[in-house]
Amino acid sequence: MNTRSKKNLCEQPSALTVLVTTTRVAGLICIGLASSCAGPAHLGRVQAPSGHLVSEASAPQGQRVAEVTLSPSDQNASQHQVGMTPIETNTQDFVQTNHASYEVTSEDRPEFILNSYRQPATEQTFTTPIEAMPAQPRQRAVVYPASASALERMSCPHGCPAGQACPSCPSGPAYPQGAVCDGSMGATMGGPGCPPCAATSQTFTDEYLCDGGNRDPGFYAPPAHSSGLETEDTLVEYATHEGVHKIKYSNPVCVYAPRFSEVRSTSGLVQNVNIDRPLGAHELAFGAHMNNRVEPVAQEHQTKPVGNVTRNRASGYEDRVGEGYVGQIVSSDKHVGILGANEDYSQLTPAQDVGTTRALFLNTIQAAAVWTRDLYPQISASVSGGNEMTAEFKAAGLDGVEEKITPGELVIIKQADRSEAHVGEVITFTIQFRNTGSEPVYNVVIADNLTPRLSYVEGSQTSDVDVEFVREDNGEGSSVLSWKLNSPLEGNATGKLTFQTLVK
Amino acid sequence: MAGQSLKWMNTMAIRTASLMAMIIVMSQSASAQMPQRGYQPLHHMASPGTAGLWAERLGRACPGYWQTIELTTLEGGSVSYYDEASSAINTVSGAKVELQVAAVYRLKLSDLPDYPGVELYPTIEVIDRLHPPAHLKHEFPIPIVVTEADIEAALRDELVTKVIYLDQPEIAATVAPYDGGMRSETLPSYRNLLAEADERGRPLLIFRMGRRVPSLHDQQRFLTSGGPVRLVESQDVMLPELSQSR
Repeated sequence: MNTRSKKNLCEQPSALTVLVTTTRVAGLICIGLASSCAGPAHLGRVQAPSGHLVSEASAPQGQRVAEVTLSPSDQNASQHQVGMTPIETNTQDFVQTNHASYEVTSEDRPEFILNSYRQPATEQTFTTPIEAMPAQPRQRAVVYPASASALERMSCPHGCPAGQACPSCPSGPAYPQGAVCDGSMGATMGGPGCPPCAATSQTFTDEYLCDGGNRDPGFYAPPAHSSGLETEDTLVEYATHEGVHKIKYSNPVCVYAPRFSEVRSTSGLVQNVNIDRPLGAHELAFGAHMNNRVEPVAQEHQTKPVGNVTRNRASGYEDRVGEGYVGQIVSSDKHVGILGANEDYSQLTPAQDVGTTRALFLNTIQAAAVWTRDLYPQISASVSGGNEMTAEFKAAGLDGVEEKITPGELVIIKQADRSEAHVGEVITFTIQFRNTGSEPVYNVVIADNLTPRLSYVEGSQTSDVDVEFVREDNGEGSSVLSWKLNSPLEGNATGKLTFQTLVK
Repeated sequence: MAGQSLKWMNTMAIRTASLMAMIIVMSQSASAQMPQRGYQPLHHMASPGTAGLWAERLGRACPGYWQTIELTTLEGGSVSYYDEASSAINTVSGAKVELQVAAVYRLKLSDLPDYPGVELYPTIEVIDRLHPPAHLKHEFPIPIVVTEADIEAALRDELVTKVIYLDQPEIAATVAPYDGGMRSETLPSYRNLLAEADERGRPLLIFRMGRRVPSLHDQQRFLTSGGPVRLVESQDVMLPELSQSR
């Protein structure tokens, strides 16, 4: 195994298990939030939702690398653990430990992103020289539980008295490593030493501008630009050589970019309103009341007999029909008019009809009596047992060659070149994807539905593979970007897309 | 009779079930048509400090947390922040200061270029905080932009109230902000600005500005704020030499 557990330099919650791949990457790797780590060639961070993953890497030779470690939970690790098989190329190191297929359905899709980080057999490590700096991770807001005590609510997650070493916390903004508190935060939180990080630390997603991942898990129906692709979502859909259609979401990327707005109102003094009122009252009395008195519409309402006529007509009609007389009279008229009354009446004489029927009944009764007396029904039954024949074939031996191919599996990673942005600044996103299987994948489409606060910079997209780029309006003030590969993506092949967005 | 009674009971049961189903459907459709307005117990016209008190009780910020503020008057001029000891920290438009959440601060706007001799004394009530990474604490202050229209309204003896809120990214309006860098929306005075801001995002700050000036016998109390003020040391604007006065 090329993996080893490594305790990161930031103090992390014990619930996180970090598996670090030691390929050609050596350097600082830590789990934590944004600026909680300080070290040489400090590059960036990527974190999964709910704090499941943050990876930060640097190379000692000054080579900029970014590493994304998909660290699963330990719940079912033993069931799917697969040995790692490093695959190296000239420029990129790529380690993929498992090709766990994930069929996206309407039921399990909502947890796709989380599951992708939690899947026990999925330990994927990218070591790819990049030019971009990964941005702040997106964190899901954690709501205070109802049972949280007032003390917990009032706890300062990052406070510490002056002179004390700054603590690091499981989530939320943290101090740089080695920083010393200036006493401004939590100085009144009581006693010497730093107060513990609150168990119910809270993150605030409204201060971050996120793109990528699966924002609102729900039913997704391909193609990508159809329903189900929410804003912020970034995914790749493709088909394996077996024809299985798959969808993979990227990691979310969040940039700290709060935007402020204001609502305002002005209210005057009451004295001024009282002084101005006479003018307004005069206008009202002069216009509106006079119009109401001579309004011709009002006269029409008073002499509206049409409504009465309608009601009378409806009630009279209901009375006649309700009694049922009309129906009988009309039907008799029709009989008289259409049928020849004399002929029909003579043929359908009730006397003849009754007599004939009674005779038939009598005959039937007599016949039945004779039949039931002499022809007593006999019932016979037989039981025949069924025989079953079973055959069991056991293979004496199996000769063949085990197929060593692995179906195509795409992994997509999204990064941003900055971790914070103001309104009006440009963020460059990089989407990297790789086929981790040995077989090619087909009909590869990468789609990114930009969040409303990101505007695509026209002509800024680039790609190192042959793609067909389409930009469409997403109906929410932004765009849906999609790249369709013009040829299948071979096994172990990679690709990179970049585009720029304007923060608004 | 028994059969008729049973039939009548069945009929009534069916009618009752139909009526209940109709009521449920109508109530659901009615609720679906109702706007999703959460209940906002606070009003911007409440006494200054009320919203801050609620923010403190709700634990919106740690005690002693300093929130960076940046007040800009489009007209330029001087901005003085009074602390709890009535001491003024004199800055200029666009300077960043740090205030504490839940406190009401008194300010003085003066030296306005187009309004010679005019002094305005607005208040700032911080009701929530930001949570930036530590190194970005001063890079993203809560902005307050005082426009010419605000000054004109105050000089007409009107009370200008602003609630600064943080846009919710998913529902953020996509219109471009105006030159001041912040989108402003003027609402009728009977609307609850805190509720309106709460629908659009997260209310952070209440800014009130009228034409009231301190009287001679009330100057000490008038110019006393509810918390300390701290000037951000490294910032882009040129601060006056005498940054603190009485």
